Amino acid sequence: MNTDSKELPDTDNVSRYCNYKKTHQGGLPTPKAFELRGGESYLSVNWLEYFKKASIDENLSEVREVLRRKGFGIRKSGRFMVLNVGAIRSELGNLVTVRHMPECDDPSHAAILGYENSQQSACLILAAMVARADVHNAVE
Amino acid sequence: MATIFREKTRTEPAPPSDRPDAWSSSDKQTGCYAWLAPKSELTRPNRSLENRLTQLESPACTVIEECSDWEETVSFRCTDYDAFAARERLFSEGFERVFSSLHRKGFYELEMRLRELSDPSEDDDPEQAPMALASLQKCAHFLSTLASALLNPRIGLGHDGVLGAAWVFDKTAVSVDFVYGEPVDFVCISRFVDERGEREILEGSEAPANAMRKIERFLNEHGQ
Repeated sequence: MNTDSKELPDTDNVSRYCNYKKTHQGGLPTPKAFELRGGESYLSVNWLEYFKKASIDENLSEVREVLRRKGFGIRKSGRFMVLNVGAIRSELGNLVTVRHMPECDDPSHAAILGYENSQQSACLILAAMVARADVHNAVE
Repeated sequence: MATIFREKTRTEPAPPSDRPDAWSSSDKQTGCYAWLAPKSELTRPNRSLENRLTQLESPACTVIEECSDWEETVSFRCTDYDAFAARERLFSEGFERVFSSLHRKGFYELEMRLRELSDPSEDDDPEQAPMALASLQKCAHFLSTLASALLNPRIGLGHDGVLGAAWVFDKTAVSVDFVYGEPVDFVCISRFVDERGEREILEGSEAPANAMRKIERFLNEHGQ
């Protein structure tokens, strides 16, 4: 973990790309959308306000570009879930943090940390948090 | 292959007149003959050569053994491939049996969703494991029998190929993971925290019927 990473403010938002195997009809996420892979200690997300655009949609356009450059296969059937940092903290508790962890090819990269020990309940809470308005098409 | 060094395609030349007991070795491909000292005269460093010559003279020569090994390897690989193909066929038949069973029972939406999730053609994640047949069987059984009263489950496939179903109600949410083995992993949560900032959470790993009983009890106590 990058120890220089800074915690993101509660007012900001992060996005998570989910493919159709992790989303339900209409794009609402299943808990599987937030499940950590074996050996992972945090969930990778993108910090939307990093791009300093006027709207969430514009920030998401930048995220799409970054993910494409990284070689991520973004499909039309996939969705972006937008989560508010403050809401994540209040729903999952104080042990969970959302940190900016920039990568050389992804300066907006951030991580949700601290829920690997209670994964199933945390994933369900995150899935339940997402409303239809928080779901955005993966491809414009 | 066993007679490769015994088939003579042309007459073997006579041994040198000064060494009538010389031992010959031939190479079928090049047609070359080598005349060597009798095997008894070979010195220690040449023992390996002697051994090799003995092997070449023997019907079960190393070449044959090597060929046999190779054939065995190929045949093993073939068998392995066949086993793999057979396994794939069994798996695909197993998947189809589950889908057909759901179709017969009228669970068309569930069948469609599970078919969609089992299709690897749309995968955009190279680390996505294919759906596990055991997980599919358990999921289909659970959703079509035990939890058939809980409508509109959100069904997803984990990175590890394990299926999960979740229901998000106004007051509560439930998720069930159809992991390998007998039990299912389940968690029930109340969606809102109480005045102490706490949330009701019930989680466990139980046989499907027991898990369903606990889920129903939780939903009855906390409301949907």
